[in-house]
Amino acid sequence: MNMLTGATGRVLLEARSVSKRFNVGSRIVPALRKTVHAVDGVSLQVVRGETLGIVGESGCGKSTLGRCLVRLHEVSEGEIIFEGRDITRLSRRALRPIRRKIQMVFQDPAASLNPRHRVRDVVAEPLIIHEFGTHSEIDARVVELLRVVGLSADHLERFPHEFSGGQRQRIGIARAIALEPDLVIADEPVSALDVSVQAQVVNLFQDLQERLGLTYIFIAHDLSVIRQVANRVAVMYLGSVVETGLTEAVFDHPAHPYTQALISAVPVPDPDRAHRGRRILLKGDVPNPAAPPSGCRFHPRCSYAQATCRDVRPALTRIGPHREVACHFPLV
Amino acid sequence: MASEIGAAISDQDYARVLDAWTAPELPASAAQGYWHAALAKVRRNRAAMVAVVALFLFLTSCVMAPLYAHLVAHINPFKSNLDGTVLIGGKQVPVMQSASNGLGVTPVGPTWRFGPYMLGADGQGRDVAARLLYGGRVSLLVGAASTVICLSFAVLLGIAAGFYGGIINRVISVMLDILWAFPIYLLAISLSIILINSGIRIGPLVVHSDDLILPIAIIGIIYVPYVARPIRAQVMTLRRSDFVMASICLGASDLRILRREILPNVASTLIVFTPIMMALNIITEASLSFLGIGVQPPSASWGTIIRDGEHLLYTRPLVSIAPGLAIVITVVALNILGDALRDALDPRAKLTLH
Repeated sequence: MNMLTGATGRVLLEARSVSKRFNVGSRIVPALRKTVHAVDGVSLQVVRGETLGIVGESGCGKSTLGRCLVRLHEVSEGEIIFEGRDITRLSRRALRPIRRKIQMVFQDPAASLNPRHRVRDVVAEPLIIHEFGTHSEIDARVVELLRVVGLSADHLERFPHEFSGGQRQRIGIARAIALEPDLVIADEPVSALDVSVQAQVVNLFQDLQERLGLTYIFIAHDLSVIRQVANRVAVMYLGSVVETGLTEAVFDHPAHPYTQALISAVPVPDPDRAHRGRRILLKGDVPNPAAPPSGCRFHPRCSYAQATCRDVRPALTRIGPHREVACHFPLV
Repeated sequence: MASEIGAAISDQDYARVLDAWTAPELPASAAQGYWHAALAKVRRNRAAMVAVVALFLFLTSCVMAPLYAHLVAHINPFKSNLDGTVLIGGKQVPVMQSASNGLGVTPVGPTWRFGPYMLGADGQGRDVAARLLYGGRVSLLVGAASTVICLSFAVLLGIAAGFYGGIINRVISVMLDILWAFPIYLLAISLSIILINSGIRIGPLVVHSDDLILPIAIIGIIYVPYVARPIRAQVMTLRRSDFVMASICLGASDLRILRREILPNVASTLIVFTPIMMALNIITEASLSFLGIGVQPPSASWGTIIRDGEHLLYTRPLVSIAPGLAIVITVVALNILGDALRDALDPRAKLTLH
C-alpha cells in the first residue's frame, strides 16, 4: 500500500464530479420526460499501479461510470483527467493515442467478441489499428499475447464460439493488453463466468498486473472478488460514491451503513466464523433512479437514519487517510 | 482432505483440466468458420438443393432461348405467324385454324414434340415454348436487377440510419415511412402508369417508355422500406453491442467498424433476403406485366405471356398455364432456398451453429 502515500503526482486517472444523465420516457410530452442520473457527481482518483475496486448493487451506475471513463458514453458534466490531461471533450481523432493507454475488458465475453472473427483477428485488431508493425511482427505478437493469457498458438484460427467462457474472457484480456495500456477498466469481468473459472481469471488479472505494471479499475458486485483484487475500493449507491478507502479498512470497519450491510451479506464459507444473526437485511429495494429519495439517497433503507438524513444530502467527506464517506453519522 | 487434494494439483493443471472440461465438443467442420458451416448446412438441406437445381435448369434454358428458337423451333418468336403451317403427324396444319362456326380463329395446340410449336401457338401464331424461354430471360432479369437495386438502397439507407442515428436516422426513417404508407401495388401501378406513358426525359437522360429499366427501377424502389427497416434495426443493435464498444475502445474508425464489425453481420441478413426479394419481385413484375404496365412489347415476360393467353383460356389454356407454372416453380424454389438460407444463417441460430 506504500504506493498510495503522498502520490498525487502519480494519479493516472481522475474523475472530477462526473455525471451522466439519460433521458427516458416521452421525447414529445414534457410531462412524461424523465431524467435518470445514472452517475451523479462521482469524483475518483486512480493511482498508477493500484487496483481500484468499484462495488455496488446492479443498477448503481458502476458500469456506466466505467464506460464514461473510457469515453464510450459522453459525460453530461464533470471532467475526466488522464495523465494530467483533460480528455472529457477530446475529439475521436485526438483521443486515439489515449485509447491505446486505456483499455477495457467487458462483462460478457461472448458478446464482446464478434462471432465472425477468428481469435487471430480479434487479438490482432488493436495492433493493426495502432500500426504495431509488419504482418509477421503482428503475428508473433499475437501468439505471444495468447501465451501470456494462457492460450496457445493452436487457438489462432478458432472462433469465439469454440471456447468456454473462461477462455473467451482470456481472449478479451489478450486484446485489452495487446497495446500495453497503462489502465485497464474491467467491467464485471468475472461475473458471467462459473465460480470455478472466476478464480483463474482473477489470478490472471493479478498476474498480468505484476508483469506489466497495469493499473486496474475493477468493477464488480461480488465483494469477495473485490476483496481479493482491489487495493482500494469505492462503494457506489444510486449513482454516487458513498465510501472510499483501502480495501482492508473498508471491509473490516465499514463507515457507511450501506457498506456495512453489503459486507454483512457476503456469505462466509467457514461455519465457525459465520456471523450468526449479525447479517443486516436492507429494507426495500433500490429506489428508482429517475425519482431518487430526498436528502441522503440511502435514508429510506438505512437503519440508522435520522431526521437530517431525510433533508440534507451528505457530501463525501474525508474521515481519515485514504478514507472518505458520505454519511452524516459514519460508523467509524 | 479437500485441501490436500487442492495442494496436489497446481493452479495451471487445474485450469487446463477445467478448460478441457468446459470447452464444448466440436466437430472439425466448426473450425472452418461461419460461412463454411452455413454453406454445409444448406447443402445438407435436400429441399434447398432441389430448388437450386430447378433454378439452375430454368436459368440455363432461358439463357439458351435463342438457341432453342433457331435450332428447335425454327421460328422468330416475336413475329406473328397468322398464315403459316406446321407439320403435325405428317400433315401440314395451319397455325391459325378457323373455328367451325366461322367466328374467330384458334391457334394450333401443343404438339408435345421437341420441335416447332411444342407448346402450341398464341393468338398471334407465335411459338409459346420459345416465347416462354425469352419471357423467362426478361422475368429473371427484371427480378434479379430489381433485387440488386432494392438491396443496395436498403443497405445504404439502413446502415446510414442505424449506424449514425440522430438526424440522419430521422430523415431516412421518415422517407421510408412515406414510401411504406402506400399500398404496395397501388404505388407500383401508379408509378408504372405515369412512367410507361411518358418515359423519362430529364435533360440528357432519356428513358423510353418500353425500356426494361422502368419496371426494374419501379419494382426495385417500392420494396426498399421492407428490407431497409430490418437492416436498420439490426445495425442499431450491432452498434450498441459489446464487440462494437470494444472496437471503439481500441480506437477503430467508423469506417473500420462498419467494414469489420457491422457489414459481416449484415451480410447474412442480405443473403437471406436475396432469394425472398427476388421471388417477390418476379411476382410483382408478372402482376404489372399482366396488367399491361410492366414489361412492354416487343419484350415478353412470363407476365405478358399470361396476358397473351387470357382470351384463349377456354380453347388453349396452356398459353397462360405454362408461364404461370414457370412463375410458381421459380418462386417456390426461391422461397425454399430463402428458408434454407435463413435456417443456416439466422443470427439467433448462430450459437447452435455446431
